[in-house]
Amino acid sequence: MTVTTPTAPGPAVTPPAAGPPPRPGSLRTFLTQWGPAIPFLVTAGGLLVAAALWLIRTSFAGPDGGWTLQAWQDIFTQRITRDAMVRSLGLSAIVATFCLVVGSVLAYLISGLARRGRAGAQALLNVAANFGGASLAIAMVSTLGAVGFVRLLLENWFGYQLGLDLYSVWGLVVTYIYFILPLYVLLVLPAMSVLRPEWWEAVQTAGGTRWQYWRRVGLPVLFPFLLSGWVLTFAWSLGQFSVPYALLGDTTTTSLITTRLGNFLFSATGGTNRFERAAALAVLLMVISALALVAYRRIAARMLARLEGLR
Amino acid sequence: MTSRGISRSTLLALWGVFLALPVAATMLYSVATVWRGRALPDGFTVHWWVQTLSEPRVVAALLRSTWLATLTVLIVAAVVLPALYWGYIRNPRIRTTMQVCALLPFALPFVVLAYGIKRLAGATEVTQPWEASPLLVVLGHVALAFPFFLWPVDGAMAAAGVRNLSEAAETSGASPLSTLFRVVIPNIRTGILTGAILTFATSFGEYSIARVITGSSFETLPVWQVAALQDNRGNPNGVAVMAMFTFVLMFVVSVLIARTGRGEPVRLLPGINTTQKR
Repeated sequence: MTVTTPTAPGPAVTPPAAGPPPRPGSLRTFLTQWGPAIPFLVTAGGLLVAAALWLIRTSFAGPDGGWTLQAWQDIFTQRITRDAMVRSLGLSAIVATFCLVVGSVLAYLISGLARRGRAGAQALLNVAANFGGASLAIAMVSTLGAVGFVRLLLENWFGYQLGLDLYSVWGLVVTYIYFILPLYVLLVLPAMSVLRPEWWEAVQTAGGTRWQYWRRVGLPVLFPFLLSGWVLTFAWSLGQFSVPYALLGDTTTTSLITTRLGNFLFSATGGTNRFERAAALAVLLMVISALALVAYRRIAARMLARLEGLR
Repeated sequence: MTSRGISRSTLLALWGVFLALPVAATMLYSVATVWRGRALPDGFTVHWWVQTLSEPRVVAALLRSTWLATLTVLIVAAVVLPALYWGYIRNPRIRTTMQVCALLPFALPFVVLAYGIKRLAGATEVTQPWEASPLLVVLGHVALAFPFFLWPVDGAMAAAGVRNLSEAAETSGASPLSTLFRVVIPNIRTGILTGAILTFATSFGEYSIARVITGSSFETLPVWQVAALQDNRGNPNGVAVMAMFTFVLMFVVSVLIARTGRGEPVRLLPGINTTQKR
């Protein structure tokens, strides 16, 4: 609208603003159209895009400022880093799948509560979903750490030795589930209203069982909603930094992509191109998250269209 | 039917216990005198609370986090409000662009975003002095927290019918700026309040940006918490005090939002609620 592409063949020296047809004061038009948004576009959008692009450039940068694949090659050949990738992806898949299975059931149960109970549960879930970060790591150490509350309680009252090590991948799974499960439930809760009581009645009239209802009607209808929740939960787990860093610190035997990135940044022992390797890891995380987000949006758009059809 | 009801409440109750236990443990640790080898602490004291909250390093971190979050809210409001308002009354494409920008922080994990901003600042001669400065931390917090302001305010503007309001104001001869301050903002107060609280909470609890950009020279509360947790000679009860402090703060925040936002899902994700509004 502000810039019309000149179609008439003309000399290349003509600046686009003065191209045919002449538009006097098109800069002014641009300013009145976009002026108040410029500070926003620079600080929010521009900064994010520029930072992302610069990371991509850095990940291919050689020692002399040229282009090289060295950093990428390094992160995929170095044992610790490759292990960290596998561990990160595995951890995120476990957390997301647990949310998909358990969270979906919980969301369905909450959707069946009375109006007031549902509002109360939602408010509590909001609180839990906001309990992330450093404070949650501290709370988990107080609960499941070496002298944690639950560990002491089980030993003293039931004589049971808790086998779970908080400072391991499974400890992280429990910690992630604490705040990611509420997020998942909040995310898929609106979808539960799609299920109509009439469908269950219809299945009953046809002589069907509860199991058949879920197998043939309930789950197929809900599936895209739950899948989009899985995708987002996966990406969300993958990008966590403060919780694993607070719990595991610099331990290389249990490092994740994010904490490995932190290692490259904070310790000087990472080798000559550690900043480039950090950038390559960052770009890797960025690509996976972006793909997950695109997938999520596509599924969300499709299921919204479906929702319109159902109404 | 009743057995189904019972199993439902059992499941939800189990989850409730799982959610409550860490908070209870943190609370107990923050008030315990001696707690070794037994199920419950030997005695209770407020000593740790008094001691931790009067420790200069903790107070400094707390103040730093508070002004950082406040500044973030102010800058976010100052850049988002005029842009969004203009998007409603003049150029709808601004609004579309903003919605797309609001998805970017979700494609960039915060630690990645932090590193990207730091590298970017280090790339040119002019910006290099700021590569590890608190200024860059503020900028980073603005870039990652603005969606939490944008979404509630966008919803409030749509609900208030900002276009009609400002047309009416302009017909009566008001300038765009005075329309924004005298007519629009008073009508979307709830949305602004919700957005401001969410932005504040996000910025207050954010660890990676400050840690990656400044190392540990700009110690916010989360940076202190992680350092104190990893310090073997540290004071575990004092760490629990500050975790409990943050929990209480987050709880108050959530209650505030639930009261202003009438129980809508708070932690908005790029999801169902936002797409439906369009």
